[in-house]
Amino acid sequence: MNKKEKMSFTRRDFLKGTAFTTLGVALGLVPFEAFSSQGGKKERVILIREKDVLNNDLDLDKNLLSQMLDSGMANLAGENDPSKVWKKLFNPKDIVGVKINVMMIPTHNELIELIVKNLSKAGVEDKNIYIWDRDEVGIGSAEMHSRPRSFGFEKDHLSKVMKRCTALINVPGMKSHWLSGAAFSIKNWAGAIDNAVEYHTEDCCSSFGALCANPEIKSKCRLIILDGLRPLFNGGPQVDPKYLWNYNALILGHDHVAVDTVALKIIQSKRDEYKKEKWILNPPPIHITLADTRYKAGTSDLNKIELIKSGWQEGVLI
Amino acid sequence: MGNQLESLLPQKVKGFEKSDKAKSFDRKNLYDYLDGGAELYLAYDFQSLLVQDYKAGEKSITVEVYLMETSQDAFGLYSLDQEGENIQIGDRANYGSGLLKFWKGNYFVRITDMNGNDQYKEAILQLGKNIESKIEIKGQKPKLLSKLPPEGLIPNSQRFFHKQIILNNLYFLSTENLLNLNESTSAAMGDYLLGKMNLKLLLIFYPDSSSAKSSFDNFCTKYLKVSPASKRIIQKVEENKFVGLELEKNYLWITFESKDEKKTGTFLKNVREKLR
Repeated sequence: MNKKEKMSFTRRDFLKGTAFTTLGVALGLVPFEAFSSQGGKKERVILIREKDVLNNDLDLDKNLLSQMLDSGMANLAGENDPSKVWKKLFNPKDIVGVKINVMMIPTHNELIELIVKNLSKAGVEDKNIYIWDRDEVGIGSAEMHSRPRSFGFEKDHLSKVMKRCTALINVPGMKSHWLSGAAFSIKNWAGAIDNAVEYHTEDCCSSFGALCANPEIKSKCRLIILDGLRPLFNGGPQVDPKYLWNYNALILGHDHVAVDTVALKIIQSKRDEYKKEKWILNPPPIHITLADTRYKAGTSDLNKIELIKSGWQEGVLI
Repeated sequence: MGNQLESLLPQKVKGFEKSDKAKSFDRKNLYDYLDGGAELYLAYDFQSLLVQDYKAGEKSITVEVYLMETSQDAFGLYSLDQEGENIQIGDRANYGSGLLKFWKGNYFVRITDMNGNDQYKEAILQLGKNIESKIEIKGQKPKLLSKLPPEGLIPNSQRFFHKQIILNNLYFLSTENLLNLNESTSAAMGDYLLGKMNLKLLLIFYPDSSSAKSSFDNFCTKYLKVSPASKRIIQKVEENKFVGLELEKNYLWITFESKDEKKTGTFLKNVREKLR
């Protein structure tokens, strides 16, 4: 993991399209058609939305959310029965770490509860389910919201929870971010290390991709469930409520970079819709592209992503 | 410091009452509250923060009071996003979708209802008024803002900052700190509408003229890819736009987004006149 690698990239490079072309596509600066697909296997990403899952008073319909998760899991694996997918991904001997986000745009509690419930149904023992962010850890359903335990960090800065687990699920929020441009699944791992400050750098946090390329994460993370129920499209992590909207979505995948590329396209489209003109994210979230090109952690090329959309399509933005 | 900030907060306003104990943060532990967001405040001269929740049954409002070393930096924080309804609270305030922001003296205050609607607007504004009434000092905007030419300046578009990470959030230039921005530099940014043409002005004051000159040279060679042969340069860049920059003693000013070379030159001269 080489997080210190120096890079130089200017606004002009970006506009010329000589660098970060996949990012340019996601931000709508480079036409999608300008890319030639190289064929081959595509990375599947699921986008599922339900109009009534979250109402204007922000009441969440847990049954609908459960149906969304079931449908998303089934689509992700091309199966009819979502419980089979959970069983394929996780076995009863697994110790599963569920990495949530508690800061500012937190993962919804109802989603966490559903994930824990599905893991239990797949045979994972309650005592082997760790729900955590930073160094606040809960074991099993009784502690998933209070997270009263603390495990500390290893010398290599990774959370000890992660080392203890045999499998990981990444459950980030969906937000723009003033320092890194965007904060989705890749950046969520900043809450699994004790030196995140070293990644929050003035070069647009270019090194975050190193996190999901870390062997401990890459080899163990089997599922990403991005909470896109009420994302933030400007500022962040500190919230200005006028930039929140009920998108009512979950985004599922196995590839951090592909999931983040889809989320980025949605956030950028929302910004353009809000301003009624191009309103490019500042700074550009180059860490997503670099996670692909520098750290080889996944694909940021929309041509290599098989996006399956289902449910509510009005205002889908992608 | 926590007590000083706590004394600003009322116990109860329009049915909302303090709930739980207020939380205090300083430069060392601000990350505990704002992981990934602390750098924003630390890029200004942040001293301490008090966070207090108010509740009325299930309803909740959060008050954040930031104490800065200078009123200029309190304004700087406020200036980053001034979109919203102008409100007569403190030295300047705006409100929108459940968030009131204001600065007064060296305080920057945010009062938020996370639901993002206006149902608690009255309580939020009253809380703001109560807090500002206990702040006796009046703030002073950074003097550098007075150097921005007023003609064509879009209201509420003036920003003030010191560091590269803030610049890149306002207008991404480079992953490298080409302009050598740091805590000892002061920068102002303003958006202009000149006829039908938009233009963005960045004006930087360096602690010494040699720092200004080396930043000018660096920007010319690394960003514009031209030789810094004169003190004023206008260069055509992508999207048929022009970047203009000029140097005078400790000042460096740069224009972006202009679509007219001649107007860029005239505007650069106007800035020079304003600096004298």
